Amino acid sequence: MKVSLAWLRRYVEVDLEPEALAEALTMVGLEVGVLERVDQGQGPPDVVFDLDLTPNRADCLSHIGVAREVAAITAVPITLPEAALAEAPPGVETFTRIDIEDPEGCPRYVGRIIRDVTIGPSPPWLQEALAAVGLRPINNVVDATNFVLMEWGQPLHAFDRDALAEGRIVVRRARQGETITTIDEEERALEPTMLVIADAERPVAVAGVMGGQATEVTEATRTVLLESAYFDPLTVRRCAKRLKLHTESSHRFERGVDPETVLTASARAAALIAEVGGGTVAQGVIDVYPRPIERPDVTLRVSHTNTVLGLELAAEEIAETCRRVGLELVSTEDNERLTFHVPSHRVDLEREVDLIEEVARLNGYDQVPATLPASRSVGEAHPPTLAWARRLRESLAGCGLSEAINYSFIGTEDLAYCRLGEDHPLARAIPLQNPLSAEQAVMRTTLLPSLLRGCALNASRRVESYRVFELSQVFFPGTGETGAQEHGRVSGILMGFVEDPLWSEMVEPAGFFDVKGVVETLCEALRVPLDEWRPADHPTFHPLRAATPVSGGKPLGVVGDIHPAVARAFDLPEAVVAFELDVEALRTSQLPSVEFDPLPRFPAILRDLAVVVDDAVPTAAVERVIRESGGPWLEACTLFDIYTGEPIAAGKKSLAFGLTYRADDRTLTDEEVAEVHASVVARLEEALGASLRA
Amino acid sequence: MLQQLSQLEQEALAALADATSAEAVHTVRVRFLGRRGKLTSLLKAMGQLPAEQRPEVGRLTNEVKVRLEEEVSRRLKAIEEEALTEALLTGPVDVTLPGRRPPLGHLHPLTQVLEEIIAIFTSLNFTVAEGPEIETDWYCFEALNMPKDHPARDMQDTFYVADEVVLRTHTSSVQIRVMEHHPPPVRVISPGKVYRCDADITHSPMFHQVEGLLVDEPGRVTFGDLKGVLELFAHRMFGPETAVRFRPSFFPYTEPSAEVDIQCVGCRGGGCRLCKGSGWLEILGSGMVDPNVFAAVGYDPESVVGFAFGMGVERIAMLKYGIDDIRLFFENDARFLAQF
Ligand SMILES: [Zn+2]
Repeated sequence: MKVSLAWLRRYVEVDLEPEALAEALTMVGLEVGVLERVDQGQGPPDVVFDLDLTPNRADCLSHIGVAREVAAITAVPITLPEAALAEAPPGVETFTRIDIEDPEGCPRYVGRIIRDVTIGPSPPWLQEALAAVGLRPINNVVDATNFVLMEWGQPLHAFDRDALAEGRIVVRRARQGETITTIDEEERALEPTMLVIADAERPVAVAGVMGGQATEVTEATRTVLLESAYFDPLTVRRCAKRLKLHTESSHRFERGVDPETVLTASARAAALIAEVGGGTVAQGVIDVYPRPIERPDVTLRVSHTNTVLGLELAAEEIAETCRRVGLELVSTEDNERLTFHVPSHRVDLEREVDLIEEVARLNGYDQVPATLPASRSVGEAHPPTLAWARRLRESLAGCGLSEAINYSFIGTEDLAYCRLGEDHPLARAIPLQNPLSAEQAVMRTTLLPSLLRGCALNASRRVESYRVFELSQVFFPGTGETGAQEHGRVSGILMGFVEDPLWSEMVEPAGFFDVKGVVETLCEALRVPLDEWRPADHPTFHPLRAATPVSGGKPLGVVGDIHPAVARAFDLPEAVVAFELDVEALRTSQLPSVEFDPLPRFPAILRDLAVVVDDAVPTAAVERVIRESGGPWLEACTLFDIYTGEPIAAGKKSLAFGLTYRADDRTLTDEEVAEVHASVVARLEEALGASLRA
Repeated sequence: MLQQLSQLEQEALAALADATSAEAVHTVRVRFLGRRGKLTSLLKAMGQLPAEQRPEVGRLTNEVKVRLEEEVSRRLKAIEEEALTEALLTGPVDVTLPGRRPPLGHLHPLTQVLEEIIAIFTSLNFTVAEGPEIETDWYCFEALNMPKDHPARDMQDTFYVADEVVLRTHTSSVQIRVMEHHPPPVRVISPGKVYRCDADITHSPMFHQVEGLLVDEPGRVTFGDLKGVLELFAHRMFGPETAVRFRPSFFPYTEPSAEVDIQCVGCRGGGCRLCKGSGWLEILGSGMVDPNVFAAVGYDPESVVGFAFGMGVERIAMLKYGIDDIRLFFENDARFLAQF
């Protein structure tokens, strides 16, 4: 809402400098966004304030409304404009008739007739006044209605009376199939929920939103029917939304206009039209007001006001503050219960708390001393997820991965790029009804597409190595009240070098074992024991170079090389490795507490073991047999070499392990260890067909 | 005799000083202190002295011997030190070459700022509460005094998943869930992702919020307390000298409502581009909980009072780090992430 200082001065004396006025308005809740000096042809430059009004302050969508606030702040009186009406017979009823068929949608409709007008440009003062607040001058009649709109905040509409069938007005809901061409030259389909202004035959305006082209004022217009009405806010809002129209008029009706101003503004505009359009105002006014709008009085408790605000105001101070905004004290009970009559323009004041806010705002928020709560409330324990999530993030950062945060929505295309066929569970993403773009159309079911896009973006910016993780929610269709379920995921991706290239040596690009190592370290940090790595079956990953870590029999997710076709789809210049883990599965696999193991007191005996097995035998299987047959003395078993080629037969590989034997109650003898070691070898031969490497 | 002794000591010390290798020192040692060395010979000659002089001369001779032995080891140590130093100085290393660094990742700036905010409020006894990002219309709007078709809904452009299901536009929805399940008093903050259909350099369709709520009996929490808590927050976040102001505003779920501004971090109040010349920056919205909200969650609006506040984490982070484009947070450029 643009407000001209020169215009304001028509109603109230302003002694403040423009900047000080802007500050004062801001501090009572009428935030001044921009303050602009505008050159007027003659005289001093005007100042225009751009107010960022909150939706509750419908009353300030006009210069008089803002002038009332200025008067309240500076404690000066306000002068309201008088309508210099010179009515002449015949009476208004001679020219028109107004019927309200829907008093719900239109509680009040006021009509006046101005005859013998000559349509033409409006006088310079009017054009300048409108231009200052950003309105384009159109013609004298329309300009006059716009002036009153900006003055009183009452939207008005001028019909060419002679273009109305039978010259009359019916306020009703639209009928099925009716259409109207509005003054913006759009033909619009109307629906039975929409309130329209009709003549004897057809809709001539969308009530409170926009007039129709067929009945608008043109150069040929001689007789103007001036509409001033109160339309139901909800009805106007729904209709404007449905038509995707937002006008000066609908903006005000939606927020609620002053039902009393309907009449005042009508007289004011009629007089102005006669003045600038050279016509005569017909005798009288048609005021159809089937549903008078009641404004109940509001009672405020002095003690409660002080309790809420943390102040100690006396009843008189509160009453005086309220009086400044036009609240009229009608009764006082024990200096405690103050009952006020609310002025009709303050549609936002209905409850005690509304008045408490007026008291706080007009006294100034800066007058309330800042204190700390006496509340004895003790917080509950934080959700355990919080500290856990912090540990997870820090562990991954310690592995060299930075944290990424991506939008929760992705494109359906991303799912296809990840090779997730339509029947794959990850392809069942919840779509948004009103996405901003196709790339942000569905809620993500996996974090991988976002991370892959991150790789592509960084690669395109010549970032050579990229190592990030993300901890976020993913979304799936569900059955609850929202029809959605949310699960936590932590995913990571490594592209390019595992660590920053160093001058002294070659650094390898990240591969399967790098990403697996990250997940192993993460699990160690979170005290999640891993019992095995199973082959993974995930369309986004390489068919062989991918695995699922399992803890306590529970699969945690997938780790491995991104499928080359996926990498290509995302335009990645090179191979990348990634993981995606289920946060809930990780969290619930955490060992509940640490139980201390005493440090060893006796020396260990180390033995190496190199066995030859078929290529197809997984290392983990060999290790499992070693551990199972190593007895209680086997403390550790570490793979230190894999060898294929001469002299190992084709199709075989040699695996070399370092075994640590130790007893916790004495020093083992070589003989004792030799016996166990031999049984390990025997068991390996038996179970896996392994042979000792010569 | 005594003169001879002193001369001999001087001679030995000079010889030691001239010795530049361990072998040379040993030769000197043998020459003076060995079994046939000069000092030994001198000692043998002591027999010719009168008996009363013998103890005195014997003592002095011994002292000389000890001193020379000390000097021998000092000299040997010095020679060893020199040799080591010399050895170390061959094959110089360029210590300005980069070190071999274990890789280190960085937490996202939003996570860091979020944690800082959470830490400030947990120090004031607030508990963290979390809730779903996909919400019903009731939790996101209705219960917060935003009935359908209310103009206040225009303040938050909403993404819809279904007719009554939205992506939450604020984390106030979590507070409704908390109040539904806990009788007063309540003292929580709810951090998390929120969504609005809006995108430009200062608006992101997804961003992060921290909302706070304190509810207790009347008298135990006031508008003055709201000011006190939020001033304290602003001072801890932006420095104790930062001016803070509260000005009237409107939110459907609070009344009275207040916007909280801090003195501009760019110009310290003088006016600049960042604050559009006003000298102030808006950092959070707040107010006393509207009685309708209490009624919606089943609290008796007459027996509780509360305040609520909410802030955008991106906004705070942008001010704190001087970031001018909100989209940078979600691009995840490695060079951006590495700065925090
Ligand atoms: Zn500034």
